[in-house]
Amino acid sequence: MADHGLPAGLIAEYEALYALGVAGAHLTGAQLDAAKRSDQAHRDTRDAVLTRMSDSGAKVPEQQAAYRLPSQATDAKTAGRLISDIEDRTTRTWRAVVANTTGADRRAAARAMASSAVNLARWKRATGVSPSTTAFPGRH
Amino acid sequence: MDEQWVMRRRAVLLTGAAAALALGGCSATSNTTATLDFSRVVHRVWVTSRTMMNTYDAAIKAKWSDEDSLKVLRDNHAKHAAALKKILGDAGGKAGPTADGDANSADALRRAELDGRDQAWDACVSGGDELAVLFGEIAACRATHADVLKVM
Repeated sequence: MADHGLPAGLIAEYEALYALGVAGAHLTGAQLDAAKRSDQAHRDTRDAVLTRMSDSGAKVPEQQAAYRLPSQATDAKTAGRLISDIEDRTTRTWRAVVANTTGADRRAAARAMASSAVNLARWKRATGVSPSTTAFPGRH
Repeated sequence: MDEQWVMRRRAVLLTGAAAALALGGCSATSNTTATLDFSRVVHRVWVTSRTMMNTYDAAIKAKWSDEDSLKVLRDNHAKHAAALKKILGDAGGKAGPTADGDANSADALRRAELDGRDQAWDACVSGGDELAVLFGEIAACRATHADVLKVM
């Protein structure tokens, strides 16, 4: 049975960081700035989750050299779509982790879910998508 | 949210409230206490959603920012309030909160959104497994609002 706790969220953070690296190569100006900001937010979440898992003695999944992405980035337009897809997927993953954890792990997951939702809303604003917010982030 | 679940949950809440009345409150069973605690957590988050709706209405009237942008945020709170009211049923009361928060600036609204986010995070952890995801969604939404208000 797949683990739907913090390890699943941590892997989603690894994937998001990989995707932002791939997409960033095609971006310039304000969109590149937004991607860099998102990258830092994911690094902060990754580090917080890593610390939490290490402190509790949990087995930490290793970061891989590459990940299968939800879409390809070949230019600025497709890079933008990739970032939108990966932020959405990360928010949905953390939403599932919230449902499958308790206590401090759940709080960590809820914080990560909010961070990812903020990243997605910022990216929508950077690319002119309105409205940038939704009442129930991660729900489809 | 699944309608059958809402109806079942509401039935449990009402049964718990009736049991508490029958037992005079002081001798309520632990199950009843847990149900009433659950109801209080939902009620608190609902009151915040309703208060934020009123606050955004006041901000829209004050016209210090783009009406459409504020209305989107107000409507998100309205969706939260509606979802929570379904769970509360009659336990939420009919009139709801009337006090408005400080609607005079983006900074004041942002502070209120951040307080609301923290409240929803607490509810996500302490409010029971069944509603953890809903509270997580509400917290995440309030966090996105606070971020939007930074640039208003």
